[in-house]
Amino acid sequence: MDKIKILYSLVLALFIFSCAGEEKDIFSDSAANRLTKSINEYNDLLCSSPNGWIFEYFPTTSSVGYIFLARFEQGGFTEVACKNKVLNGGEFLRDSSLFEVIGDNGPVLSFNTFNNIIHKFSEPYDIPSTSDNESGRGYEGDYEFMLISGDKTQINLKGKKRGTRLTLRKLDENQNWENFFTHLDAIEATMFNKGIIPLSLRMPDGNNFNLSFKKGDDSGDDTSSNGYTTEFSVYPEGGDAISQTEKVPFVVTEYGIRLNEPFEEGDYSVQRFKLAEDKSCLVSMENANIKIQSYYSVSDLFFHIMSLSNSSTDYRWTAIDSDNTMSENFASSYKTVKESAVGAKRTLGHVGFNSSTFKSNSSWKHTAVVRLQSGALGSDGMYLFDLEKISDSEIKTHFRGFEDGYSQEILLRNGKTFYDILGGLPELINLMSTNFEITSQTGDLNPSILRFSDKNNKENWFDLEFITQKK
Amino acid sequence: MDKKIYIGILLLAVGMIFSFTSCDNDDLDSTSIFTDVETDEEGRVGLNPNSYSYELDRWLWDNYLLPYNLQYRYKMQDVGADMNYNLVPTRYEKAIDMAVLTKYLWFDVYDKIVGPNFLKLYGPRIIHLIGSAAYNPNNGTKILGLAEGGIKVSLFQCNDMDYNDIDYMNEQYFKTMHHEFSHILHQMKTYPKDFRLISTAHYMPFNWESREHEEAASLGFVSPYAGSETQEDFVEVIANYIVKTDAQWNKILEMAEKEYNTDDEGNIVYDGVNGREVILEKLEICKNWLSSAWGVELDDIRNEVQYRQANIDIEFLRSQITADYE
Repeated sequence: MDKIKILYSLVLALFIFSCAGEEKDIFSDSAANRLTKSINEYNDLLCSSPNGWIFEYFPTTSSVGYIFLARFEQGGFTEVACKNKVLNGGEFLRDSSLFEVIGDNGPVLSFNTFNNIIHKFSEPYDIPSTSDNESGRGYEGDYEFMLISGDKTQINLKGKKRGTRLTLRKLDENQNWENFFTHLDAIEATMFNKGIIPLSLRMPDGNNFNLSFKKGDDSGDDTSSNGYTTEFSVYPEGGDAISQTEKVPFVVTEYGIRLNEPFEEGDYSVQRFKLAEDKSCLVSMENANIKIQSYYSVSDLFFHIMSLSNSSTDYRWTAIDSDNTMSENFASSYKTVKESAVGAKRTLGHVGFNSSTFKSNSSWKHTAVVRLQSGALGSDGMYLFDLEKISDSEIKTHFRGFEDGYSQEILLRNGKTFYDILGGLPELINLMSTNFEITSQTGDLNPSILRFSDKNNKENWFDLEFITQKK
Repeated sequence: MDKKIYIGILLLAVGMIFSFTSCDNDDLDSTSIFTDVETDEEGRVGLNPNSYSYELDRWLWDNYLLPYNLQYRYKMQDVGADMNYNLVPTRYEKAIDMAVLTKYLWFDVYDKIVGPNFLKLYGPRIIHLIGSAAYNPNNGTKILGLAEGGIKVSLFQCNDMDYNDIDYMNEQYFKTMHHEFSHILHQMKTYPKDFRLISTAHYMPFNWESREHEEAASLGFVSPYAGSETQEDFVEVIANYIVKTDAQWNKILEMAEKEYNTDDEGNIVYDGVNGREVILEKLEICKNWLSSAWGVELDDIRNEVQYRQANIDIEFLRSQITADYE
């Protein structure tokens, strides 16, 4: 009986297993033909945009980004353009070479002859602008990219060696390439004109982050590596700026910015931010409730900027001498001061608010300042002001007059002298001493020009621009 | 036999029949998995007349692949290179110059002097152009060229080539080509043992790069690298003799005449070697070996190379790419 059971079991097993390998075809064609087909499809897709693609390029997953424009033609011809400081000193640069969609584990876009743009980020040579020796490494960027997915509007790539996630977005057919980069310059200036205006990443759950970025040195000279603002320093609001700061590299795009890698906090993950229509903030394209905005209200920023002044650098708010940046009656007084200065064989340097220290008292005091130039030499006249925040968009300013002791301080004494001899200056100082409504003229994201509108006199308003200057 | 056992055996047999026949439809497809193989009108496989690089590709096919079965790879595939190095491709225009110069200064020389079959039989099968330098991650030195198993010769830093500077071109590329090719030859027919004995005491496998040219010459080496080991010494004699002008070669012999060196403290140290005699002895062995083993007269090769490198008309050479087909 046991033998019978064994035999039955064997037969049953044969019935069960004999066809175990019989599955319906998963693919309708061989792997080689499917790869060839995919290569041809991606080649056609790359060539389908007559004016090319916007290439958001990051050499590695921790690098700052660069924007290229790239156009592909059937027959393996490609043309690439860029405008950044790494190549050609920040001037527009265009170069052509060959490309091919090759097969590896899947279709791969390979720029297979040298191109002065793409391959400059792959050459193993030292980077002159850094103090490190990068010989053998260079920027370590890829020039071969796995083609992950794509359609007529966007192709998603992955760097072959470095694994960077990159995109090609279709460029409008009528877009002039050089003008595209001019537009990038403009949008960059809109978002990040002044590098020391702090930003805030506002999260829906209230776990916000402080953002700062390097636009240039304190004098405003641009020292960023590629001519664009490229990296945030991020730490949690209320956290420790030293130990908790994380570098978040990004690239400025025609719509806003794209972070190299997604920024993740809790359940949130964001990578692309679009500049709002009113330029008030950058809105996450993944979650509209996540925004990057100015950390300070305009009133607070007014005080914050002046508080940065130190013994080597002056941070001030300065009037802009042009037709549409001051009201008629303010402009009238301003013009009178200019003319009076010429009569005194001087030129008017600037007028505005700042913080100053004096010999008799080293604490910083808010002042209005008028600078007169005599050739390269200049002298400041100071006027002590009481400044007070009324609300996020309103301040009160009050000229304290010439108090006892002012004659002991040369800067205040200069102020009195200017006040007495320059026609229009008393009126100008008076116009600066009132309650002001403040609004940003450059968007709330980058409030580097503020309009001061007299709460009691609609005829009195003027714009002040944030300026840094080495002393 | 028990009836039940018969039934069991019958069932087993039926089961086995099913098991053997159930998968018998999986015949191999007799057709190739590759469906569309591209060719141009003359039947050059893989060449597309509409390709931007068709003229060069066609010329390379006719001048390297067809006669020598040699792939002249100028379109770099990083995935096909050593991923430990950061390398970039050669610029297209530089690849054209390198292709015509390689033919003019190497292949055509052997064809003319030795005969058309020599490089067909013994030449490399792949020449791979690389635009940048390859930095050795261990010691920071740059690799000028690589010959892998006699099959593939890789030439680096092609983007820096300047055909007007023949000394640089020789040092960077053409000396490398003769050097690597000589390796291929001696790996097939070994060179005389006598050669190995000449400088045995002075080879420095490690740190050879620390020797200056003058010091290496005084010890009987045509270059510091020649002093690294016997095989390199052997091929360096051949390669340097071919590409160096008379003045440059004599300069090496002049340096070699000195029988002393100066140490780090500035003291004179006699090496006891007449470098000139040693180099000339090595050269004689190389000449005899090439002649007897390969039927190649080294002086003839050298004279032809010297004539050609003194008469480079790059515009004419470039024009072959299109003129050959007009």
